[in-house]
Amino acid sequence: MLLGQIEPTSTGTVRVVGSLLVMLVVTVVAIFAYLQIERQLDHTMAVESDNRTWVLAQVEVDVQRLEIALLQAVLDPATAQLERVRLAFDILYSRAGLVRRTPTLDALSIRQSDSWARLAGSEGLISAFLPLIDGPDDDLRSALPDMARKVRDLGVPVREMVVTAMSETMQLSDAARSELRETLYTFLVALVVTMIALTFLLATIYRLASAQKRYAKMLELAVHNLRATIESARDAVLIVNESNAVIAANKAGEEMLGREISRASPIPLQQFLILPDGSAPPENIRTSMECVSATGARLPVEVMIAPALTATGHNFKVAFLRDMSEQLERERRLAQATELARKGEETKDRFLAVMSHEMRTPLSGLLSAVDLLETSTELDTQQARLVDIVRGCGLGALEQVNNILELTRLSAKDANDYPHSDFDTGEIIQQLIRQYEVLAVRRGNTIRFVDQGQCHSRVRAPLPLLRRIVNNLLSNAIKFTRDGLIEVRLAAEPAEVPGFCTIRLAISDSGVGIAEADLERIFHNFETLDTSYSQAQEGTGLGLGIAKLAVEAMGGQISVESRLGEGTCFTVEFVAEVLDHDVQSHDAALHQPDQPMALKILLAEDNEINCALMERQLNRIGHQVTTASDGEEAIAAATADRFDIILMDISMPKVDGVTATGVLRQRGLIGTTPVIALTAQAAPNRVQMLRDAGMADVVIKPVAIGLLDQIMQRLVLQGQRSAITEGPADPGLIDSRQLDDLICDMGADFLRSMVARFENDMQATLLNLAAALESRDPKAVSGLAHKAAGAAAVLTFSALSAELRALENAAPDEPPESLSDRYRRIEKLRTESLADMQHRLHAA
Amino acid sequence: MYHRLTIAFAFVASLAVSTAAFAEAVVLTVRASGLAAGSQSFTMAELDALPQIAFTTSTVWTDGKREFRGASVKALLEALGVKGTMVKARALNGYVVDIPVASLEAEAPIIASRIDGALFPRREKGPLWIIYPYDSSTRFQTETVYGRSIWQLHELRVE
Repeated sequence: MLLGQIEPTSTGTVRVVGSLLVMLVVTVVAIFAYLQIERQLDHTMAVESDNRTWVLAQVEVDVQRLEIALLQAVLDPATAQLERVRLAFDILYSRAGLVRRTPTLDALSIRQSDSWARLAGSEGLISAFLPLIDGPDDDLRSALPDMARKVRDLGVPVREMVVTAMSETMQLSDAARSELRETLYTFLVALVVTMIALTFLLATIYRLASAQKRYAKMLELAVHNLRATIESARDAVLIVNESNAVIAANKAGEEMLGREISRASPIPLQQFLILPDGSAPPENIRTSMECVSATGARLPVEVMIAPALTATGHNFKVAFLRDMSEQLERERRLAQATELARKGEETKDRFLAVMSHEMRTPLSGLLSAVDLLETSTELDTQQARLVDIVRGCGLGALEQVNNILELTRLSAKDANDYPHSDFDTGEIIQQLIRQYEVLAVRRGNTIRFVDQGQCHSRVRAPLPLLRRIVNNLLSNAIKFTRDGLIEVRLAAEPAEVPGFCTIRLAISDSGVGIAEADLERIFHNFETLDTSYSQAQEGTGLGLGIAKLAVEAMGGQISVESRLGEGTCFTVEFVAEVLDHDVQSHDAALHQPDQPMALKILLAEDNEINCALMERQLNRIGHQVTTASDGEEAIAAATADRFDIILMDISMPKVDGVTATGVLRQRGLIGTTPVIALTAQAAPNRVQMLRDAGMADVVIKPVAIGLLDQIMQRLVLQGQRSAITEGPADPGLIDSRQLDDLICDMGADFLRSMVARFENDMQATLLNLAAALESRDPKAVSGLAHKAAGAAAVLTFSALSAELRALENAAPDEPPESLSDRYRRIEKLRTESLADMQHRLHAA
Repeated sequence: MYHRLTIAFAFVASLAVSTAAFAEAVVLTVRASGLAAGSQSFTMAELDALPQIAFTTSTVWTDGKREFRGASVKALLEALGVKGTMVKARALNGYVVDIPVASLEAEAPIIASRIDGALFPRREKGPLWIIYPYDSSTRFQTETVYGRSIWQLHELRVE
């Protein structure tokens, strides 16, 4: 709550009501008392005005006057005197009538008194005298003395009667006075109580007024604070009435809308906030809109409309407008900066890649030249040393360039970009170890492979990444260990996800180790560790970084444990899909499995029509076909050119299919190129014979092109796969790809001269080898073999080179007989390889 | 019952007798210095000849409302051309009351000679009674006014 609850106290109201009630009661009492007073006053006035006492007193006087008149008339009975008697009687008569009738004498006992009865009663004096008074004069005259006497007799009783009445009157007066006094007193009390109540009321009212004042002050303060809050807000706060017109705005609001807002002239909200369809903005959600101010300026705003209720129950809305232009501007700039950064990254990566590629070419040339220098020229000791240095530097440079390229590639792509292939982890690792054996031996290290119960099924994983990882880790292990042991442990166990297993590869060495403080740092790019060893440590420090990236690209983890001086162990863990033992599983190493390849086909078929027909059919499905009409032509064609696949008709004149195939194989001209036999003879033993002869498959004529294509695709893929999985131990005499690169880099002529030189050297080497074997000098054998192997490798004589290396490794251990066998094989290979090379170079 | 009847008869008789006499008898004497021989007498007929004023009112001496008719005191004095400050009114039994001339209004008091249209004898506070219209105003309901309401009026002395 912005404001606390503020409410006036309710006890004040109770007091007010109480006071009013008291006052009401008292007022009623007062009015009653007043009425009493008024009545009594009236009464008193009536009494007073009637002269109660006077009347009573006059009764006696009038009786006395009558007596006097009567006595005078007795003494002087003249008519005038009689008149006086009559007058006095009338006066008394009227007086008695007054007494009888006056209501003010009701309270007295006079009318009930004996004396009164004697005077004015029905048997009384007045009644008795009446006929005489009204009678003739004479009768009256004669009755006079009697009448006088009667009146005289009544004198005392009348006096007593009057006196009694007087005293009663006085008592009544007193009583009336007391009553009046009491009434007045009541009235006074009522008045006093009223006064007190009034005072109380006034006090309460005063207190209420103070409370109200305080309340009003608090309210004012709260309102002031609220107003200050709203006015100070940077966002616009608009009050919108039921008809969607703006009736009030805070300062920010007026600024945003560009004009003053007053309750007197409401402005429709639509004038400021434009929605595309012209409707009202929705309530209770933040909407981005455009606000058009009165000055015409347009502003991006975020609008929030909240319904509300006034204290009197009317609906209205509060609209909050936030100027989004700053925010939008910031977002735009941020997006721009991000874009720039991204582009920068891209550019950088591209730059690195291009530069690396550019550098690779000369480096590769440099290395080839160095190798040739070493193997095909005579070098003295110093020159040999210098050549070693050049090669070392060149290799180093090449490694860095390759590493950078690798790094760029790894950081740009993710695992899905790497082709997955099916392979046996153990086999691959062992192959890689074999490659490093030489390097390890040179530093006095031993590499041992430990199979920790890996599942022997094949897995599907990005093979290039795994190679890279193992390469980098192994090379590091070898690099940092001298005269030690490097152990490669491989274990696999089923993963949580069915159909997958977790591969754990641990490469540990007994080398210099890594300090704990550096364990984190080593994975960073370009970090190298200074050691106290003075030998030049090759490497830019990218190896581990690349390995880490590669592991992560595979979705795995890499960790390291090390103790300074004792050794290091790198552990790589990743999850890979497990495959069943299925050789036929599709291979995506180079091509999409479903995508049929366009093949370079050699078709040997003597039947012209068949040949032409098949050629056209194969062309139509995208293949490139070279035709030969017999075995001889086939051989010539296969010599001159390399084909993906050879379709060999078996029955051909001059040289048949089987013979031609044999020759081509013997000459090593077709290497792993699959040959499909086309034959009309479908006998099973015939098919088997053909297979034995080295045919990859047999197709019975007439040939269904669809089926043939399927077979061809399969065979070609298989051939490619086996080429990968078997790695550098390629039985092919010449590494075609490498040769192609060499021809590109060097030129065929130069290469020819190199090959010629190599041939001479090889001759010499063989003689020396024979001599060394004779004299059972393993060291010499190894040395010669080593040198030759290198040269051979450079010139892409892969089979020859492999065989020489094997001899180099075997020389210390194997018996002379087997070494001699090797020697003979080498000799044969040398001949074959050179022949092959001549052919190729001739064709190039 | 019989007794009352007698009284009633007597009353009527006397009334009848006195009516004739009344016509001739002096009922009121006005004494003032400006008058010839210092006084002027009036019979009932002479009083009746003056402009008559009638009103209905209740009084503290009568029951209910009665119509009183008679000549205005002020008119009487003006008719006589009498000037003065005080009027002393005397009743047959010697009762005297002062009525200031200034307090005389054109229509109050009157010298009532008829109650409900009939003459009223001495025994009924007649023949003349100074009456104010008490019901018409509280100024006629004061002690002073009641005191001036003299019955059995006999004489008016102007000073």
